[in-house]
Amino acid sequence: MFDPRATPRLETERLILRGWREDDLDALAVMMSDADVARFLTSDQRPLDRPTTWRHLALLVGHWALRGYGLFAVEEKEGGAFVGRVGAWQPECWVGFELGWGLARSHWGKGYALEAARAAGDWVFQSFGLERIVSLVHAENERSQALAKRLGMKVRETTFYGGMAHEVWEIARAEWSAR
Amino acid sequence: MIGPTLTTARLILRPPLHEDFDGFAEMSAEAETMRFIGGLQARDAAWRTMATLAGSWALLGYGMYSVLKRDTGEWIGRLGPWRPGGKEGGWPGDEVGWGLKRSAMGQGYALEGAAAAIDWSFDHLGWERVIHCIDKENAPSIALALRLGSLREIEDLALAPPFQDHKVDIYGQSKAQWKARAR
Repeated sequence: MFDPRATPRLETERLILRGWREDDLDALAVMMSDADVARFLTSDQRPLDRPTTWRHLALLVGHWALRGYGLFAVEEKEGGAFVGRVGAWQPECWVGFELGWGLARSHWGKGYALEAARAAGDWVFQSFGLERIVSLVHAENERSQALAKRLGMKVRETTFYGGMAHEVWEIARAEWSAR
Repeated sequence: MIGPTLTTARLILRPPLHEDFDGFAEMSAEAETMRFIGGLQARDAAWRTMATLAGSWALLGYGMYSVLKRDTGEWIGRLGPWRPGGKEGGWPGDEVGWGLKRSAMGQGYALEGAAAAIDWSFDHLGWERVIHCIDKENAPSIALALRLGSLREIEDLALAPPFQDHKVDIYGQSKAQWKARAR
Protein backbone atom coordinates (compact mmCIF):
# COMPACT_ATOMS: atom_id res chain seq x y z
CA MET A 1 0.00 0.00 0.00
CA PHE A 2 1.39 3.37 -1.07
CA ASP A 3 0.78 6.21 1.35
CA PRO A 4 -0.29 9.21 -0.75
CA ARG A 5 1.44 11.48 1.76
CA ALA A 6 4.68 10.13 0.28
CA THR A 7 3.82 11.43 -3.22
CA PRO A 8 7.00 12.80 -4.80
CA ARG A 9 7.42 16.49 -5.46
CA LEU A 10 8.55 17.57 -8.92
CA GLU A 11 9.68 21.08 -9.82
CA THR A 12 9.76 22.84 -13.16
CA GLU A 13 10.73 26.39 -14.01
CA ARG A 14 7.36 27.81 -12.96
CA LEU A 15 5.43 24.92 -11.38
CA ILE A 16 5.38 22.43 -8.52
CA LEU A 17 3.80 18.99 -8.95
CA ARG A 18 2.90 17.54 -5.55
CA GLY A 19 0.57 15.25 -3.60
CA TRP A 20 -3.05 16.14 -2.90
CA ARG A 21 -4.32 17.81 0.25
CA GLU A 22 -7.81 18.07 1.66
CA ASP A 23 -7.71 21.85 1.15
CA ASP A 24 -7.26 21.43 -2.61
CA LEU A 25 -11.01 20.79 -2.74
CA ASP A 26 -12.01 24.45 -3.13
CA ALA A 27 -9.80 25.09 -6.16
CA LEU A 28 -10.54 21.67 -7.69
CA ALA A 29 -14.29 22.32 -7.30
CA VAL A 30 -13.95 25.64 -9.13
CA MET A 31 -11.98 23.93 -11.91
CA MET A 32 -14.42 21.02 -12.29
CA SER A 33 -17.51 23.29 -12.21
CA ASP A 34 -16.35 24.93 -15.47
CA ALA A 35 -18.25 23.46 -18.42
CA ASP A 36 -15.33 23.94 -20.82
CA VAL A 37 -12.97 22.04 -18.50
CA ALA A 38 -15.43 19.28 -17.60
CA ARG A 39 -16.35 18.68 -21.23
CA PHE A 40 -13.11 16.81 -21.87
CA LEU A 41 -12.36 15.49 -18.38
CA THR A 42 -15.46 13.88 -16.88
CA SER A 43 -16.90 10.60 -18.09
CA ASP A 44 -20.27 12.21 -18.94
CA GLN A 45 -18.79 15.51 -20.17
CA ARG A 46 -20.69 17.43 -17.45
CA PRO A 47 -19.39 19.73 -14.70
CA LEU A 48 -19.13 18.34 -11.15
CA ASP A 49 -20.92 19.77 -8.12
CA ARG A 50 -18.93 20.18 -4.91
CA PRO A 51 -19.86 16.89 -3.17
CA THR A 52 -19.11 14.95 -6.36
CA THR A 53 -15.82 16.85 -6.69
CA TRP A 54 -14.85 15.56 -3.22
CA ARG A 55 -15.43 12.01 -4.44
CA HIS A 56 -13.32 12.84 -7.50
CA LEU A 57 -10.56 14.16 -5.22
CA ALA A 58 -10.76 10.96 -3.17
CA LEU A 59 -10.46 8.98 -6.42
CA LEU A 60 -7.34 10.95 -7.44
CA VAL A 61 -5.78 10.27 -4.02
CA GLY A 62 -7.00 6.66 -3.91
CA HIS A 63 -5.43 6.02 -7.32
CA TRP A 64 -2.05 6.84 -5.71
CA ALA A 65 -2.88 4.58 -2.75
CA LEU A 66 -3.82 1.58 -4.91
CA ARG A 67 -1.34 1.98 -7.80
CA GLY A 68 1.56 3.89 -6.25
CA TYR A 69 1.29 6.57 -8.92
CA GLY A 70 -1.33 9.01 -10.11
CA LEU A 71 -2.15 12.54 -11.16
CA PHE A 72 -0.26 15.24 -9.28
CA ALA A 73 -1.76 18.44 -7.96
CA VAL A 74 -0.04 21.26 -9.87
CA GLU A 75 0.54 24.70 -8.39
CA GLU A 76 2.41 27.85 -9.39
CA LYS A 77 5.80 28.09 -7.77
CA GLU A 78 5.26 31.77 -7.20
CA GLY A 79 2.26 32.31 -4.96
CA GLY A 80 1.12 28.66 -4.83
CA ALA A 81 -2.08 29.09 -6.87
CA PHE A 82 -3.70 25.76 -7.87
CA VAL A 83 -3.27 25.16 -11.61
CA GLY A 84 -4.73 21.69 -12.25
CA ARG A 85 -3.80 18.01 -12.30
CA VAL A 86 -1.15 16.33 -14.44
CA GLY A 87 0.52 12.94 -14.19
CA ALA A 88 -0.02 9.20 -14.49
CA TRP A 89 -3.44 7.60 -14.79
CA GLN A 90 -4.43 3.98 -15.16
CA PRO A 91 -7.72 2.99 -13.53
CA GLU A 92 -9.07 -0.52 -14.18
CA CYS A 93 -9.83 -1.33 -17.85
CA TRP A 94 -7.92 1.77 -19.06
CA VAL A 95 -6.36 1.97 -22.50
CA GLY A 96 -2.80 1.86 -21.12
CA PHE A 97 -0.43 3.71 -18.80
CA GLU A 98 -1.58 7.25 -19.46
CA LEU A 99 0.15 10.58 -19.20
CA GLY A 100 -2.82 12.85 -18.48
CA TRP A 101 -3.39 16.55 -17.99
CA GLY A 102 -6.19 18.97 -17.19
CA LEU A 103 -5.88 22.58 -16.06
CA ALA A 104 -8.23 25.12 -14.54
CA ARG A 105 -9.51 27.44 -17.21
CA SER A 106 -7.80 30.49 -15.71
CA HIS A 107 -4.42 28.84 -16.37
CA TRP A 108 -4.93 27.88 -20.00
CA GLY A 109 -2.69 29.43 -22.63
CA LYS A 110 0.43 29.88 -20.48
CA GLY A 111 2.28 26.75 -21.54
CA TYR A 112 1.76 25.22 -18.09
CA ALA A 113 0.29 21.94 -19.35
CA LEU A 114 3.31 21.34 -21.59
CA GLU A 115 5.72 22.24 -18.80
CA ALA A 116 4.02 19.96 -16.27
CA ALA A 117 3.47 17.09 -18.73
CA ARG A 118 7.17 17.07 -19.67
CA ALA A 119 8.18 16.82 -16.02
CA ALA A 120 5.57 14.15 -15.30
CA GLY A 121 6.53 12.17 -18.41
CA ASP A 122 10.23 12.25 -17.41
CA TRP A 123 9.26 10.98 -13.95
CA VAL A 124 7.06 8.24 -15.40
CA PHE A 125 9.73 6.89 -17.74
CA GLN A 126 12.42 7.08 -15.03
CA SER A 127 10.28 5.40 -12.37
CA PHE A 128 8.25 2.58 -13.88
CA GLY A 129 10.31 0.85 -16.58
CA LEU A 130 7.67 1.45 -19.23
CA GLU A 131 8.35 1.03 -22.94
CA ARG A 132 5.55 3.42 -23.97
CA ILE A 133 2.90 5.71 -22.55
CA VAL A 134 -0.41 6.84 -24.02
CA SER A 135 -2.71 9.84 -23.75
CA LEU A 136 -6.44 9.56 -24.30
CA VAL A 137 -7.68 12.74 -25.98
CA HIS A 138 -11.29 13.59 -26.88
CA ALA A 139 -11.63 13.76 -30.66
CA GLU A 140 -12.78 17.42 -30.47
CA ASN A 141 -10.16 18.54 -27.95
CA GLU A 142 -7.89 20.51 -30.25
CA ARG A 143 -5.84 22.06 -27.43
CA SER A 144 -4.88 18.67 -26.04
CA GLN A 145 -4.21 17.28 -29.51
CA ALA A 146 -1.76 20.14 -30.08
CA LEU A 147 -0.12 19.46 -26.73
CA ALA A 148 0.24 15.72 -27.41
CA LYS A 149 1.87 16.60 -30.73
CA ARG A 150 4.29 19.01 -29.05
CA LEU A 151 5.21 16.24 -26.62
CA GLY A 152 6.20 14.15 -29.64
CA MET A 153 3.24 11.76 -29.41
CA LYS A 154 1.45 10.22 -32.39
CA VAL A 155 -2.10 8.95 -32.84
CA ARG A 156 -2.22 5.16 -32.62
CA GLU A 157 -5.95 4.62 -32.94
CA THR A 158 -9.36 6.03 -32.26
CA THR A 159 -11.44 4.47 -29.52
CA PHE A 160 -14.72 5.14 -27.73
CA TYR A 161 -14.90 6.22 -24.12
CA GLY A 162 -18.16 7.29 -22.49
CA GLY A 163 -19.76 6.90 -25.91
CA MET A 164 -17.49 9.60 -27.37
CA ALA A 165 -14.68 9.23 -29.90
CA HIS A 166 -11.21 9.60 -28.39
CA GLU A 167 -7.78 9.48 -29.97
CA VAL A 168 -5.12 7.30 -28.35
CA TRP A 169 -1.82 9.18 -28.63
CA GLU A 170 1.36 7.34 -27.73
CA ILE A 171 5.09 7.71 -27.48
CA ALA A 172 7.86 5.15 -26.92
CA ARG A 173 10.57 5.54 -24.29
CA ALA A 174 13.33 6.07 -26.87
CA GLU A 175 11.35 8.78 -28.66
CA TRP A 176 10.60 10.54 -25.38
CA SER A 177 14.26 10.45 -24.34
CA ALA A 178 15.42 11.70 -27.75
CA ARG A 179 13.36 14.86 -27.66
CA MET B 1 -0.32 2.11 5.84
CA ILE B 2 -3.05 4.71 5.67
CA GLY B 3 -5.11 3.34 8.58
CA PRO B 4 -5.22 0.73 11.32
CA THR B 5 -5.87 -3.00 11.22
CA LEU B 6 -8.62 -4.25 13.56
CA THR B 7 -9.11 -7.86 14.54
CA THR B 8 -12.32 -9.49 15.80
CA ALA B 9 -13.08 -13.12 16.65
CA ARG B 10 -13.45 -14.09 12.99
CA LEU B 11 -12.51 -11.00 10.94
CA ILE B 12 -9.70 -8.67 9.94
CA LEU B 13 -10.58 -5.06 9.07
CA ARG B 14 -8.03 -2.88 7.29
CA PRO B 15 -8.03 -0.12 4.63
CA PRO B 16 -8.51 -1.33 1.03
CA LEU B 17 -5.51 -2.72 -0.87
CA HIS B 18 -5.27 -3.37 -4.58
CA GLU B 19 -5.27 -7.14 -3.98
CA ASP B 20 -8.88 -6.79 -2.70
CA PHE B 21 -10.14 -5.74 -6.10
CA ASP B 22 -11.32 -9.05 -7.56
CA GLY B 23 -13.56 -9.63 -4.54
CA PHE B 24 -14.71 -6.04 -4.61
CA ALA B 25 -15.60 -6.29 -8.32
CA GLU B 26 -17.43 -9.57 -7.73
CA MET B 27 -19.61 -7.96 -5.06
CA SER B 28 -20.19 -4.89 -7.27
CA ALA B 29 -21.73 -7.22 -9.88
CA GLU B 30 -24.25 -8.79 -7.46
CA ALA B 31 -27.62 -7.17 -8.16
CA GLU B 32 -29.21 -8.02 -4.83
CA THR B 33 -26.17 -6.87 -2.81
CA MET B 34 -25.79 -3.58 -4.69
CA ARG B 35 -29.48 -2.70 -4.85
CA PHE B 36 -29.29 -0.42 -1.80
CA ILE B 37 -25.63 0.65 -1.89
CA GLY B 38 -25.22 2.54 -5.12
CA GLY B 39 -26.32 0.00 -7.71
CA LEU B 40 -24.53 -2.46 -9.97
CA GLN B 41 -21.05 -1.50 -11.14
CA ALA B 42 -18.91 -2.95 -13.91
CA ARG B 43 -15.20 -3.49 -13.19
CA ASP B 44 -14.08 -0.02 -14.32
CA ALA B 45 -16.63 1.77 -12.13
CA ALA B 46 -16.05 -0.63 -9.23
CA TRP B 47 -12.33 0.17 -9.30
CA ARG B 48 -13.07 3.87 -9.07
CA THR B 49 -15.35 3.25 -6.11
CA MET B 50 -12.70 1.20 -4.31
CA ALA B 51 -10.11 3.92 -5.03
CA THR B 52 -12.52 6.51 -3.62
CA LEU B 53 -12.78 4.48 -0.39
CA ALA B 54 -8.96 4.32 -0.18
CA GLY B 55 -8.81 8.06 -0.89
CA SER B 56 -11.14 8.79 2.01
CA TRP B 57 -8.58 7.18 4.35
CA ALA B 58 -5.83 9.37 2.95
CA LEU B 59 -7.85 12.60 3.00
CA LEU B 60 -9.81 12.24 6.24
CA GLY B 61 -7.93 9.63 8.24
CA TYR B 62 -10.89 7.25 8.13
CA GLY B 63 -13.00 5.39 5.61
CA MET B 64 -14.50 2.03 4.82
CA TYR B 65 -12.40 -0.99 5.83
CA SER B 66 -11.94 -4.08 3.72
CA VAL B 67 -13.32 -7.07 5.65
CA LEU B 68 -11.40 -10.36 5.44
CA LYS B 69 -12.03 -13.72 7.07
CA ARG B 70 -9.26 -14.51 9.51
CA ASP B 71 -9.20 -18.23 8.74
CA THR B 72 -9.01 -18.06 4.93
CA GLY B 73 -8.01 -14.44 4.19
CA GLU B 74 -10.98 -14.17 1.83
CA TRP B 75 -12.25 -10.63 1.15
CA ILE B 76 -15.95 -10.60 2.05
CA GLY B 77 -17.01 -6.96 1.99
CA ARG B 78 -16.41 -3.41 3.10
CA LEU B 79 -17.72 -1.51 6.11
CA GLY B 80 -16.79 1.29 8.44
CA PRO B 81 -16.78 5.03 9.05
CA TRP B 82 -17.97 7.05 6.09
CA ARG B 83 -18.62 10.75 5.70
CA PRO B 84 -17.78 11.83 2.13
CA GLY B 85 -16.53 15.41 2.15
CA GLY B 86 -15.97 15.37 5.90
CA LYS B 87 -17.93 17.72 8.15
CA GLU B 88 -18.75 20.12 5.31
CA GLY B 89 -19.60 17.51 2.70
CA GLY B 90 -23.37 17.58 3.16
CA TRP B 91 -23.55 13.98 4.45
CA PRO B 92 -26.23 13.60 7.16
CA GLY B 93 -23.74 12.69 9.90
CA ASP B 94 -20.94 10.42 11.02
CA GLU B 95 -21.91 7.10 9.48
CA VAL B 96 -20.78 3.55 9.96
CA GLY B 97 -22.06 1.70 6.91
CA TRP B 98 -21.71 -1.86 5.68
CA GLY B 99 -22.01 -4.09 2.63
CA LEU B 100 -20.98 -7.74 2.32
CA LYS B 101 -20.74 -10.19 -0.55
CA ARG B 102 -23.79 -12.39 -0.82
CA SER B 103 -21.88 -15.53 0.09
CA ALA B 104 -20.87 -13.90 3.41
CA MET B 105 -24.35 -12.78 4.46
CA GLY B 106 -26.40 -14.39 7.22
CA GLN B 107 -23.46 -15.44 9.39
CA GLY B 108 -23.20 -12.48 11.75
CA TYR B 109 -20.14 -11.03 10.00
CA ALA B 110 -21.70 -7.60 9.39
CA LEU B 111 -22.69 -7.32 13.05
CA GLU B 112 -19.23 -8.39 14.20
CA GLY B 113 -17.41 -6.03 11.82
CA ALA B 114 -19.73 -3.05 12.31
CA ALA B 115 -19.42 -3.29 16.11
CA ALA B 116 -15.61 -3.19 15.83
CA ALA B 117 -15.78 -0.24 13.43
CA ILE B 118 -18.16 1.68 15.72
CA ASP B 119 -15.89 1.01 18.72
CA TRP B 120 -12.89 2.29 16.76
CA SER B 121 -14.74 5.35 15.43
CA PHE B 122 -15.94 6.49 18.87
CA ASP B 123 -12.50 5.88 20.37
CA HIS B 124 -10.44 7.59 17.65
CA LEU B 125 -12.52 10.07 15.68
CA GLY B 126 -14.09 12.17 18.43
CA TRP B 127 -17.60 11.30 17.33
CA GLU B 128 -20.55 11.97 19.66
CA ARG B 129 -23.08 10.07 17.56
CA VAL B 130 -23.09 7.38 14.89
CA ILE B 131 -25.66 7.06 12.10
CA HIS B 132 -26.54 4.55 9.39
CA CYS B 133 -28.20 5.65 6.11
CA ILE B 134 -30.58 2.84 5.11
CA ASP B 135 -33.13 2.38 2.34
CA LYS B 136 -36.64 1.74 3.68
CA GLU B 137 -36.83 -1.56 1.81
CA ASN B 138 -33.48 -2.86 3.03
CA ALA B 139 -34.84 -5.14 5.75
CA PRO B 140 -31.56 -6.96 6.58
CA SER B 141 -29.72 -3.67 7.19
CA ILE B 142 -32.58 -2.25 9.26
CA ALA B 143 -32.46 -5.39 11.41
CA LEU B 144 -28.70 -4.99 11.84
CA ALA B 145 -29.02 -1.30 12.81
CA LEU B 146 -31.60 -2.21 15.46
CA ARG B 147 -29.42 -5.08 16.65
CA LEU B 148 -26.56 -2.59 17.08
CA GLY B 149 -28.89 -0.51 19.26
CA SER B 150 -29.57 2.29 16.77
CA LEU B 151 -33.08 3.69 16.34
CA ARG B 152 -34.78 5.39 13.41
CA GLU B 153 -34.35 9.15 13.74
CA ILE B 154 -35.26 10.62 10.34
CA GLU B 155 -37.31 9.31 7.43
CA ASP B 156 -37.00 9.87 3.68
CA LEU B 157 -33.91 12.04 3.68
CA ALA B 158 -32.26 12.83 0.32
CA LEU B 159 -28.51 12.11 0.33
CA ALA B 160 -25.83 14.51 -0.93
CA PRO B 161 -24.95 14.34 -4.67
CA PRO B 162 -24.41 12.17 -6.61
CA PHE B 163 -27.08 10.25 -4.65
CA GLN B 164 -29.58 13.11 -4.31
CA ASP B 165 -32.34 11.02 -5.87
CA HIS B 166 -31.87 8.27 -3.30
CA LYS B 167 -34.00 8.71 -0.15
CA VAL B 168 -32.88 6.96 3.02
CA ASP B 169 -33.97 6.60 6.62
CA ILE B 170 -31.42 7.61 9.24
CA TYR B 171 -30.80 5.26 12.15
CA GLY B 172 -28.48 6.32 14.96
CA GLN B 173 -27.40 6.43 18.58
CA SER B 174 -25.17 8.48 20.86
CA LYS B 175 -21.71 7.54 22.08
CA ALA B 176 -23.14 7.15 25.61
CA GLN B 177 -25.78 4.73 24.36
CA TRP B 178 -23.16 2.72 22.47
CA LYS B 179 -20.84 2.56 25.47
CA ALA B 180 -23.72 1.41 27.71
CA ARG B 181 -24.70 -1.34 25.28
CA ALA B 182 -24.65 -4.85 26.70
CA ARG B 183 -21.97 -6.98 25.00
